[in-house]
This record gives sequence, C-alpha cells and structure tokens, in this order.
Amino acid sequence: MKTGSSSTAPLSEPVLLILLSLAEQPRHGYAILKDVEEMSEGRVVLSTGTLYGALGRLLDDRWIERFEEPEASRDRQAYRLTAKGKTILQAEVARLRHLTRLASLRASPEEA
Amino acid sequence: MTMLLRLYCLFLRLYPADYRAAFGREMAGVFERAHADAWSHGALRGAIFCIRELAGLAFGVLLARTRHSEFLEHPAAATVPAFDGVPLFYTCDDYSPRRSALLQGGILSLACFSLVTAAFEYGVNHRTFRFMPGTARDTGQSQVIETGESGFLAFGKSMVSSPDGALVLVLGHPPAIGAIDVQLGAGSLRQAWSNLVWVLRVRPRLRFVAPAALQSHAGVPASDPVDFAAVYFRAMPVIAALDADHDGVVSAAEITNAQAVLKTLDKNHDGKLTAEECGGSVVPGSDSESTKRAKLAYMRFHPVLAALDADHDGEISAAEIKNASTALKALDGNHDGKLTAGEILPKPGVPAQ
Repeated sequence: MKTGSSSTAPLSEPVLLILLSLAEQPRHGYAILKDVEEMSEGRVVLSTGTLYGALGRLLDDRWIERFEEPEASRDRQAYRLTAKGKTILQAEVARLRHLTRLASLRASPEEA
Repeated sequence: MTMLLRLYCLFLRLYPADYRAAFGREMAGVFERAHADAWSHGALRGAIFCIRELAGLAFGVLLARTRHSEFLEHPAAATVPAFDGVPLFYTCDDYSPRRSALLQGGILSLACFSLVTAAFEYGVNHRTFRFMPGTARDTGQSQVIETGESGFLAFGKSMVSSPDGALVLVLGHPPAIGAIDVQLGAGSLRQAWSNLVWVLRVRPRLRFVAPAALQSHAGVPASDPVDFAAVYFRAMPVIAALDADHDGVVSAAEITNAQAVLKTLDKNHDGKLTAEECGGSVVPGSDSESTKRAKLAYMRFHPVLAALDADHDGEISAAEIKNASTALKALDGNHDGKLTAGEILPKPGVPAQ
C-alpha cells in the first residue's frame, strides 16, 4: 500500500478541499464539486474527470469510503471520510496551522 | 439525453472497463447536473465548462490507464450495488461491436470521406460567383472598389506581387485590411483572375494589419515600392494576351495585332467574346438579370474592355473584334502610339464608359 508514503506528503489544494468538504458531512459527487468551488470562492473548479480521479485515489488510500445513500438513485453514491482520512486531514490542518503561525512571525515584521 | 451528454458518455469509453463500471454512471450524472448549471449562467460559462471537462477527461483517462487501483481491483471491498437488471446507462457498458459491424462502419466512413472530398474539390473548381462592381472611392492608402455585395476589390497600392509569383490582394479599409493569396502559376492566369474575383465575396471579413499582411503574404516590406501595374498586366486575361512580350506596355505592333489576339480568346469559336471569355467570373449557365448586370459592370469596369465593347452590350462582337485596333488607339491619351499602365488600369473613382 502506498498510503504510508502519501500520508506524509503535503496535500494538494483540490484534495485538501475535497477532504474538508467531506469532513463536514458525507456528500455525493456533485455536492463535493459545488462545495469545493464555494470554499475556494471560485478559484478551484474541478471537472468531473479530475474529481473522480481524486476520489479514486482517496478510495485507494482508504481515506474516504463510498456508501449507498438511502433513498438515493444508483448514480448518486455518497462519500465520507474514514477514520484514517480524518487523521490525515487533522495532520494536514496542524501542518498548515504551524506554517501559518511561522509565516505570521517571520513575515509580519518586514511588512511593518 | 442531450448531445453533449452522449458525447461525454462516448469519451467515458476511453476509461478502463473496471473504472467505468465503478464511476461511469456517477460521472455522467454529475456531468449532466454541472453542465446544466454552467449553461444556466450563460454561453461563455458553458463553453468554459466544456473545455474544462474535455481537459479533465483527458487527464483522468491518462491517470486511470497508468496507475494501479486497489479500490478497483477489489470491488467487494467497496459498496458498489449489484446490477439490478435495469440498463440505465448503456453507453458506459463494456460493449464490443461485431467485427462485421466494424468493417461496414469503416467502409461507410471511407465512402463518406470520399464524397465530402469530391464535393469539396468540385466546389473549388466550379466556383459560383457573380462579380458586381458598384461604387468606388479612394481611401488614400488604397483604392477600394466596392463590389456591390459584401466584398471589396482593391487596386493601386493594395495589390502586390511577391517574388514567388503569388498575387496578394489586400482588401478592406486601412487599418482593417484583409489579404488574400492568389497563385499565379504558369498557365493558370485565368483561374487566378477568377480566384481574385471569387475571394471578394467568400472572404470579405478577413482582417489583418496591412504591413503585417504584406510582409507575411508577399514577403516584401510594406514600404517597398511595388509595381502594381505589372500585376494587373499579368492577371487580367485580355491585357495579358494583348501584351504579347509581357513588357508592361501594349506597343503599336501589339495594338495592330489585337484582332488576331482577341480571336484566340474566343474559346467557343462563336466569333465574339463574352464577359467570361474576357476573364469575368459568373455563375455558369445563369441568365438572371443580376448576372447580366454583373457582366455589363465587369465589361465597363476595365477600360480596355469598355473600349473594345463599343456598343456596351456586355460582349465584344465579331465587328468589334475586327475594329479592335482602332478602339484601343482611342485609349492612347498621349498619342505616343502605345498603351501604358496609366492608360489601361481601371480608375476606381470614375467608372469606365
């Protein structure tokens, strides 16, 4: 499994946004697409090919899982974070928080 | 199912079969909703959406075909529902056509391709254009003659010849200028002249900056002096025939020989020269009123033709051919016994009488 190597690497912005979208609640493909666009304020707009490429990788890594929503049609499978996915996301958020803190310490004096 | 969705499903077939089985239906569903959403925000958003989807699909296919997927390898681990017997999404199914169907499809495609190619070739060689000179004016940069329809015919500074023999016709009003290449190969002068007239209607909206057009199409700097008269002498069939030694002057001897030369242009040997035989490009077999007017306008536009066609009926009759030398001498404004470019080139501002 390649999860070992990928779990330590920084996440790309689309992947991070997908994970953040699913962290709030389980979503199906179209809802993820719209949520990512909304979260990034229109900066990241995924095509269906890119979205499902990313979802496929996340399924492979067992960061997310697919399940059938009750009362949903077959073309609307939903996705949710796994425990492993939550851990990875929290680690990434912690990394970004650390970076932000570092940036505020080092960049602020120069700006002033 | 919309045409775009069908196309999308067709593209999905580029994915591996197991990928399609796992995600194909979902992807089509998401595409359908995203597509409707994008187009509801206007055509531009819709077009951008289509381009993005195309690029995303190409990237996705590449990725799906090059990387190993554990999720797809162990479908039991995933919660993909079993097929319920209702084929809702045919085009993403793993379907292989019969060999005979492929063969028939190939033959049909070849036949269609051949037909289209033949039609295109026929269209190129049988252009249907009516030349209709209308008003004329001088814009300063180039002399422009409106054809009466949507095109422009430009003379003077707007017509140049490149070293390789290509004729470049620069069309339109400066600085919005269009340029057309007309190849002047040996033996194809009549066709070149026809082309030159034909482009006026078919390509009237070409837009280039004049210097760039001159440089890219003719290979000459726009500032260089160009012998436009030489181009006209080569392209205009009647003058090209009269100027036997191609020195850019219809000499006294050539004027005297005009009758014999004009007879060589009489392709159907009916003893007279029509507008077509004089280089006018008109609809074959058409005798409509507008075509007659176009022929008359063509014959009146070129001073040489207007002089030869003494009764201005749009044809140079046998009697007029016989009287050709006398008629041409009438164009010799300075009475030096020969016809130079200044006496022969059309004057756009004043239609020839």
